This record gives sequence, C-alpha cells and structure tokens, in this order.
Amino acid sequence: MSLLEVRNLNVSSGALSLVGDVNFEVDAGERVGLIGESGSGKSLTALAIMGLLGEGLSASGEVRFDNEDLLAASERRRCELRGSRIAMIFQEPMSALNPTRRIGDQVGETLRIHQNFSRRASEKAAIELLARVEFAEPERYARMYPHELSGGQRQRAMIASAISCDPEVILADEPTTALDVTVQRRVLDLLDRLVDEEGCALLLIAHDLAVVSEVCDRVVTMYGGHVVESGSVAQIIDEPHHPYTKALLATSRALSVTESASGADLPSIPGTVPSAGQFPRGCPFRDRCDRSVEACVEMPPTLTEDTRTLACWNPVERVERVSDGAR
Amino acid sequence: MSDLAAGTTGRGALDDLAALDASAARDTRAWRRWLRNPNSLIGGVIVLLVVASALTSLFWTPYNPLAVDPAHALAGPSLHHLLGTDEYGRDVFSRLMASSQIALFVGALSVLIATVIGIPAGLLAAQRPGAIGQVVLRLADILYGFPALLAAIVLAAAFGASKTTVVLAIGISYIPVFIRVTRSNALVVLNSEYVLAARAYGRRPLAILRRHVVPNIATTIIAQMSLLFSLTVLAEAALDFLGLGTAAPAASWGTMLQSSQNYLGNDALLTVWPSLAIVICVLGFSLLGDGIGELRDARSRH
Amino acid sequence: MSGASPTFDLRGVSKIYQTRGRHGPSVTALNDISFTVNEGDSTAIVGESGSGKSTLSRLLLALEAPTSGSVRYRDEVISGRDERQLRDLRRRVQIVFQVPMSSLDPRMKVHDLLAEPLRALKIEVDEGERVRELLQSVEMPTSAANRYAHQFSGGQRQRIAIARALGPSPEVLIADEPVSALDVSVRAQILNLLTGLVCDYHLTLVFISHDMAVVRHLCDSIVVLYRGNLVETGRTEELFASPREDYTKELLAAAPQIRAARVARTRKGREGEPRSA
Repeated sequence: MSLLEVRNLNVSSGALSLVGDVNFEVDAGERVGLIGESGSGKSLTALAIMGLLGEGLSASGEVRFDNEDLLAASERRRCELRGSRIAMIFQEPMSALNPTRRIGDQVGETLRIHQNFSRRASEKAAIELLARVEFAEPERYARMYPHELSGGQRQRAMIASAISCDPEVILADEPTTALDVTVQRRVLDLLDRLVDEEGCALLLIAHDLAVVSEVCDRVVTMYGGHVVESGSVAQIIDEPHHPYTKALLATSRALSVTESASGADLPSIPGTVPSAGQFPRGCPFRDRCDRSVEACVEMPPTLTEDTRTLACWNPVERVERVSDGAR
Repeated sequence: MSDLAAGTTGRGALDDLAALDASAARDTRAWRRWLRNPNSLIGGVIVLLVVASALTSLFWTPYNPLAVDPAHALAGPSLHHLLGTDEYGRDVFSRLMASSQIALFVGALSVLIATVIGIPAGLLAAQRPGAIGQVVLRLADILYGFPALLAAIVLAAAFGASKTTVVLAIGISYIPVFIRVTRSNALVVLNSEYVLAARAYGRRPLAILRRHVVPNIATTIIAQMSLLFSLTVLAEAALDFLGLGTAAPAASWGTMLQSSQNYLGNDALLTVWPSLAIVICVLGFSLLGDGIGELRDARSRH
Repeated sequence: MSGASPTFDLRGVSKIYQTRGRHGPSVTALNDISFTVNEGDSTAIVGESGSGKSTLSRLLLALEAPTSGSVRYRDEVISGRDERQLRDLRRRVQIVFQVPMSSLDPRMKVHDLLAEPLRALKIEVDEGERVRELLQSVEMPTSAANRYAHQFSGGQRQRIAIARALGPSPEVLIADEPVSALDVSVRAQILNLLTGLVCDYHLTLVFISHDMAVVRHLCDSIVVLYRGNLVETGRTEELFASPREDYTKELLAAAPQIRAARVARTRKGREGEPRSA
C-alpha cells in the first residue's frame, strides 16, 4: 500500500478534458519527479491532489492518501490534512506569501492551525524552523516582511512552513524555476537534506529532467494530460522508452555546462505543446513524434513491467545512448 | 491550511491554465462576454432605459412637466396620472422623465470636464515623475481637499444657482480622481517591458502615450467614468436638494425630493418616486462600471 | 578578434541609483565596469539577480546614462545623448526581453507589434511584406499576424519578440535572459533559432544570462558580473576550462545536471525508520 495513490485521475473544465486517467503512486519516504512541458497537466495534477483546483475545474477518479480517498473527502477533512500531513511549495514564493504579515508569523501559522500552538510558541517554533532552512539570523528574518527577502530566502521560508508539521508528503511545484542558478542549487540541496531528515515523501514537479534526476528516486513523465512513462531515475535516464522522455532527456543533456558542442544544433522537440483540447486523437504526442506509426491514432494502453510503466505503440527499443562520459 | 501553502496557485499551474484561456480566447467577441456578465447586463439595461426616457422626454411626456393643475393637486396614482401629481397638480411621471434629462446632462458634462482635464493631467504626471509630476499631484491634492459641496456653495454665491454651477462643481471636484486613476494605471504601463522595448526602437514619449498607454488603460478609465457618473447623479440630486442647482420650476430629482418633503404626511409616495429614480439610475451606472471593470480583469488574466 | 574598433566599448562605467529623493540612500548597480564587445562576436554577460546585468543592457541601449564612465558604440559616445542623436543607434541595436508576454503590448496584434519599430524609425518598406518576412525568419506561420500575443505559447511569443527586434535590420541584438522563462525543450528551439539568425544576419549578440549551460552553447566570450562588479572576462572555452574566480566556479558547479546515480546515493536511515513525532 503506497502512501499516495493517484488512480484514474481526471481533471476537466466543462467538457474539456485537461488531465486524463493519470495513475501513479508515491511510497512513504519516496521521491517522485513529475516532469513535462508547460501544458502537460502536471501542475493541475498536483492541485487536484491537494483539492485546490480553481473555479470551473473538476476532478474525478481517486486520490488515496494513507488509504483515504481525498477526492471523496469533505473540504473540512482536506483542510485537516493540508499543511499538516500534506504540504505544498509553490513556484512563486512572493505571491504565495501574504505581503502584509511578518515571515515568522506566516511560517508558524501552520502550527497554530494544526497543532494548537499559542502565538508565542509558534513564533518560537518559526525561529527554529528558519534556522533549519539556513537563515543565519532567524530572529531578525522572522520579523521581516516578504518583500524584504530575496527570492531564494522567500522560497526557504516557504519550505520552513511546509515542514513545520512534519508532513508525510511534500508537493513541490517547480520550486526552483524562478530562481537564479546558485540560489536554485542551494534550495535544491536544502530540500534534499530536509526531506531526508524528515523522512517524508516528495512529489517534485519540474520541467527540467536534470533537477529531477538530482533529487528524485522515480520519474513520471506527463504529456497532454496523460502519464506516458514512469520508472526509476536510473531506468529513465539510461533507457528512456517513450520518445517524449527521450527527447526531453536529450535536450537536458545537451543543455548542460559539461557539454561543449558549441554552436551545434541542440536537440529539441519540434512544434509546440498544443493548447488544451487541441491535442491529436490517440497518442497526444504523435504529431510531434519522430517514431509515430499508424497505430498511434489509437490511445496506447499503459503497460506495466516491474517498476516501469509505458504508454507507447512504438517505443524506443534499443538504447540510443547519448554519451554519458562526462561523469 | 496556512496562507503559505494555500495563498495562490503557482506559475506552473497558471501555465497549464493559460492553455485553457487560449482556447477560450478564440471566443473573444466582446458582446458575448458582455451578456454573460450579469452586472454589465443589468447595468446596461438600466442605463439604456434612463437614456431612452431622457431622449423621449425631449419631445414627448404624458403631460407638460411644468403645467400646473391646482384642481388635481396631490392626486394619488391613477390611470390618468400614473404616479400621481404633486402639490401644484403637475404629473409626477412626466417630471421624473424630464428630470432624467438633467441628471444625464449634468452627469455627462461633469464627467466630461473631469476627464478632459484629469486624464491629460494624469498622463503628464505619470510621464514626468519629476518636478512637473509632483506639481500636478499636489494640485490634485488641493482640489481633493475642496469638496463638491463647498465648490458648489462658492460657485452658487458667485454666479447664482444653476445647472452650470452644478456641472462645474461636480466636474472640478472629480478632476483629482481621474488624475490619480489615470496616473497609477499609466505608471504600470509605462514601467512595462513593452514600453521599454518601444523606447529602445525609438518611440517618442507622446507616441508611447498614444499607442501603448491609452489603449491599455482605456477600459479602466471607462469603468471609472461609469462609476463616477453614478456618483454624479447622486451629487447632482444632493445639490439640487440643497437649492444650489437647478432652479425651482424646472424638474430634477433633487428638487422634486426637496419639495415633496413638505407633503410627507399627505402623500409619502411623492418622496418615494424621485428617490427610487435616483437609486435605480445610480445602481445602473455603477453596475455598468463594475461590469466593465470585470471585463477588463477577465482579459488581463490572459 | 577584428582589428577594427569594437562594437561596444565600456570604460569605467558606474551606475548609482538614488532612492527616495536626492539625499536618500543610494544603490550601486554597476561599479567601474570596463569591457568591449567585438563586432560579429557573441558576448555573454553572466550574472544573477542584483548583478547589474539588466542595468547594463539599458546602458548599452542608451535608455539610461551611466553615473560615471563612458559607453561607446563604434567609437561614438552614446551615454547621455538626446534622442535625436540616437536615431541611428535605435535602428542598429535591438533588444529581446526575458518574459515575452510582458514585452509585447497585449492590445496590439502581431502585425502591429512587428510593424511598430518600422513605423517609429520611419523605415520605408512594404509593411505587410516585411511582417511576413519577419515571421518566416522566426519560423512562424504568416497567419500569426492577425492574432494577439496571448494566443500563443511562451516559445512562440519569444519568436514574435525576436522577429520584432529583427525588423529594423539591426547590427546588434541584445538578448536579456531570452530563454530563462521557457521550458527546457522550448529553450533549445529558441537557442537554435538565435544561433541561426546570428549567423544568417551577421549579428553581434550580447546575451545576458545566469545560465552557464546556455551561454556555453551560444557565446564566444563571457563577462561575469557579481553585485555590480566585474568578476572575470574571457573566451568561452578558456573560462570553462579554467575559471579563475570562485564565483565563476560556483556558477559552473551550481547548474543541475542529469544524474542517474541518485539511487546509488546513500540516504541513511530513511527506509523503514519510524517517523519521529
């Protein structure tokens, strides 16, 4: 029994299907990376898990957390779980923090809500939490307002708030995408360390396979609202079976500080991600895919083999392995 | 859950939703969204009715709104006089219709005065944040501290009570509102990267105002005009009520309300009709303003 | 490089912003920066938020004047000149910004977005013809001209922004983080496009970025900035092979990389250990 099981999750806006039949699970203490381009439905999947879908969007299927279906649960029950056992970190810490309240107040708020901490106790806990996320002078920063912090500091404050109630799983939606490289490094290392220390599970949403490969145990690739492939990081990196995963991998590999091929054509995926409802029938990736065959007009079934899943009619069989000699 | 976690959906989610918006955007025909928005629909209908009654009253009213008929003074609503008659036997319905002329006239003209001066001044203050901008803002502050009522009393003392007094008083007192709204919205556009890009390819300040700033703030300004129009109707009624505006025999909602006071005991309905007219008209214009504002917000979400 | 005078020549450039009035605290955005950009070269200006790189782009565009020092474009001082004297520069130097959505006026159709620089600079061309050409050069369908920017994806919007910059046939293209707001896969597309355009139109590229991986692919030489100070300059290969300054090394080490070794990394005491309350 996994900690978090997503079963046939569908998200739709009216008649328009945005996320279709998504299946994956996250074991206790496991780190899963959810990757795909903008418009692949990965963020909607995360919001659906949290029960935070916006107006006009509806979810169906099952999101089982510790064997309890969150989609069927009452809003009251979900509020109990959010922040205490399931925490979420957003991409833009500036817009996720309340500009009118002090950092210490906001970091300690989750404790006041879920563990009945007094204001004084939560302030004290917030300072400890800020110290854990590597603030040199936590007392001083606790008194500051979000706008007085840098982007990286705000994101660390968000992480402090997320871990405050010892959650069992943290959902992080592109937590480092808006940050500078050196700041991203620091936040990723911090997240990595804290998830280790807390022993909690992590669902990391990213568009960069490199980020996921550094932090996660398993990868779930999404495209057009569907899971197209999943497997361990080693499996996916060494032997991607889905052409989409392979293409993403090739791009991430080529765009790396260790690749020296200057001026060469970078591998990229032709075309753009269509807008919702504009994906082709059958396999959503087939019009951008260099391996598409006749069968692709039908939706490929998701095949499970040991620890991997794959939905493709014409998978990459032999490993066309790109040089990995850099390391 | 905490603000921290629930505050907003991140950029990632918005990107997914952007795909949604893009498909919805194909249905950009403005009137469709207009009709789907109850505020702008109801507001629009009310405003249309008021305008229609004002236009009609220019050449037709059931009775002459000024015709005195002592024999039928203070008659209640009947088939002959739909809403009854006042203390001089004048037809209330006809007077309400004729009054809408004044309300719209005063409203339109004062909003015009406020915008003709306020918008350019606001643009100037935004474009020149230095000394010139500061001077404009301080002038706006001074005007702001000088309420419409006071302005009207001063003007009425100088030139006598008339429609012109009301128009000038309200118009001038709303200038600072437009300066502020225009300036703050224009500043957002002027600080945008597309204006930076335009400067980089050599667009001059005036051309930037015309091509980028004005089109981008137009909806906000129009929404603001509609909201202020509603306030103008209220202010005009108040000034008339105090005898600082429209002179006695001519019909206006304010003067009707004022004179009906003396007959509250005899015929309370006399007070109800002009009040109702004011409320509906104010409601109509402010709903319309809200609707336009919402329409803008929906668009800016793209 | 070419023996002729450099395209841009910065000497002792500082920019200090006065906040809150004339006597308020000041912020030094750039501190005594000197470097040159050679014709036909692709020069990267690398730095993170607060490094002063965006201020630098405004100085190169003569949208702002340095507090001290001089900025020369082909031997002519451009800092502090008024708009009339900058007519020529406005045509020759164009910019592409980081977030294409905010650099494209939401109220204008693509046709107008692309035609605006031509109109502003009074370049006599058949507008429709030129817009079609520009769209083709960035591999966009010509039908895009009748739509608004918000109807396109991030990558497509950036193509539109690049097309607009190409309109006046510039000599220099300043690209301010043009791909950092884009997905990795789209990033590669746009970089390939830029590489091709730089080559086809013989552009001198000034590429502002914090991403060393991207810079490595596109640029011949690199200028590293940190908090308004120039840290290090050099040819790309040399700088990657042997970075001298700690900050440059940190930038290189920070970039995330594909690692299959994650599973092998030991994470002690995670599995099966009871959660601490």
